[in-house]
Amino acid sequence: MSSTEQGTSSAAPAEPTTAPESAAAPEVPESFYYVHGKDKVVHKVSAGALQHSALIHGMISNLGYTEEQAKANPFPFENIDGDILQMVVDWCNQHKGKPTPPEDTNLPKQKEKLFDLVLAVNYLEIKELLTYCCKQVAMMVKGKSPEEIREIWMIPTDAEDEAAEKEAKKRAGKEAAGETAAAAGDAK
Amino acid sequence: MSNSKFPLLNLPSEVIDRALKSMDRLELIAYSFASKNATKQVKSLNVLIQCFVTEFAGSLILTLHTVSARAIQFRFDLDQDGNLNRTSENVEVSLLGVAEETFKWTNQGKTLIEWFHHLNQLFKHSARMSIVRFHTNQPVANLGDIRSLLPKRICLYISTYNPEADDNEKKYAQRVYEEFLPNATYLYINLNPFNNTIYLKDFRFRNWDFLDITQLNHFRLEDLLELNAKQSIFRLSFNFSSVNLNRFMKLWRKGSNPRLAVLWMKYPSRTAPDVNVVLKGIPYHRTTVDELKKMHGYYSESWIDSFDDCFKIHRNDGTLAVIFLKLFARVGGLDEAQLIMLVA
Repeated sequence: MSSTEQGTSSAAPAEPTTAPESAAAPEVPESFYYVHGKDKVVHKVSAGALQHSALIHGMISNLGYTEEQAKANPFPFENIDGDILQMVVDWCNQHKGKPTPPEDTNLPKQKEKLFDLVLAVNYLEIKELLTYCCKQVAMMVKGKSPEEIREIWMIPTDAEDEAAEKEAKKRAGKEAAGETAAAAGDAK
Repeated sequence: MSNSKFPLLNLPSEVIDRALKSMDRLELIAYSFASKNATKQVKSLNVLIQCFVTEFAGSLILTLHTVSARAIQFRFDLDQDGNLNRTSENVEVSLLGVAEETFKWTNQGKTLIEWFHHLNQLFKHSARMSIVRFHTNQPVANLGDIRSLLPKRICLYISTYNPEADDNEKKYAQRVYEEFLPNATYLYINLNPFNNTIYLKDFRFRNWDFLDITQLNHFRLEDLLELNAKQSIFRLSFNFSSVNLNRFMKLWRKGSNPRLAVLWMKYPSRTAPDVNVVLKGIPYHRTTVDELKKMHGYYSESWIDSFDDCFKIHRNDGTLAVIFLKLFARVGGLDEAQLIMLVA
């Protein structure tokens, strides 16, 4: 489970009250890091859970932060909505140190949420979760006709593609002309 | 899943590719019709299918056989002329298998030729072989147009269900054979409409990769010696004598039929070959299926378990052949004997 701190006010995660009885060797205490999304809500996540994210794992691997330093320097992911980051953190916690199952049925059913989740997961480079998300995207069109797929996935028609391409060329031409004119002005 | 939309193309391209690769072949095909860009995307995935079958059986049937998933079939209306330059009103799409599922798609504004090309270009064919199947009781007039669509190497099926083919079927079978012979390296043919002989135009002396000949009731030793095929299956409706088989094997040992890899002969069981005659005068070594299973290729397949006897013989240059004999098998309600010669 993740602990969510609303700004800086929420409760700290519960510490284990009893030590394991049969521990053969003293366990290295798990380190924790802090992340927040667009909504600034800070999530405390263990380094083990964050290993799922190649991006964050790369960021933290050489930091050697103390608990206080980590708390004072949460990783900001301003491009990720708070509820999406929460989903990602929950998934990482649930699958910490475990082999990932072949399917994950807990992904969001709403298409907007799934879209944002795919973008976030891709950005954070969480390979296994991205695989689940892509399967979910594929399942959206299971048994659908070409017309239905075009509608669900908002695929532009050939005419729309051509118009967009023309428009892009026109814009690129204008920008190039503008740059030439500016360079000529500078030269004068 | 809620009814809202999902702007797939706003995802990074590598994520789109990943999502597309998660899709089944049928949905990939449906997506490929969404736009020209979608077609390009699907092609760039290099998805593999096993083979592509074009069948003319009253309607035009295009079937994509996949390696591990269910085959997908598209069925189109076809007029008597076999005009492929027209659109089919609807397209019936089926996922074949135990629980067959069928869907109706629109014709996507494409003619039958355009459908053919579209489906053919989407995937890589592992067999690199296009299979074309004709039924003699469902004639199509415009064979030239059909041939122009096909690749240089095809596997040609000429199927007949009628044991007594009438003149029209005979003429049609002949036309199909002659039209597609230049492209055919694999041939599956029922000889009913061909008067049950293989004395067909340009049949002998041709380099065949594979032959499957059914209803053959006249076949001489000379025909077998002239045969230039890597693999052949003959379903004989008469007794090809054990003496002739013995002669054939002796000549094979001296170097005849050098391309032969598989010869599979199926007989009515009353004419099962006599092994003492077949191997007379040929040095042989009786072997077991278990011993053969340790060898590669065909020997590891389960069908050889059903054979009664097997023998090893060698060509004079040292090449090994294994002869399998089965004296009795019940196949399709008929009793038959089988002889297989596999050249290592």
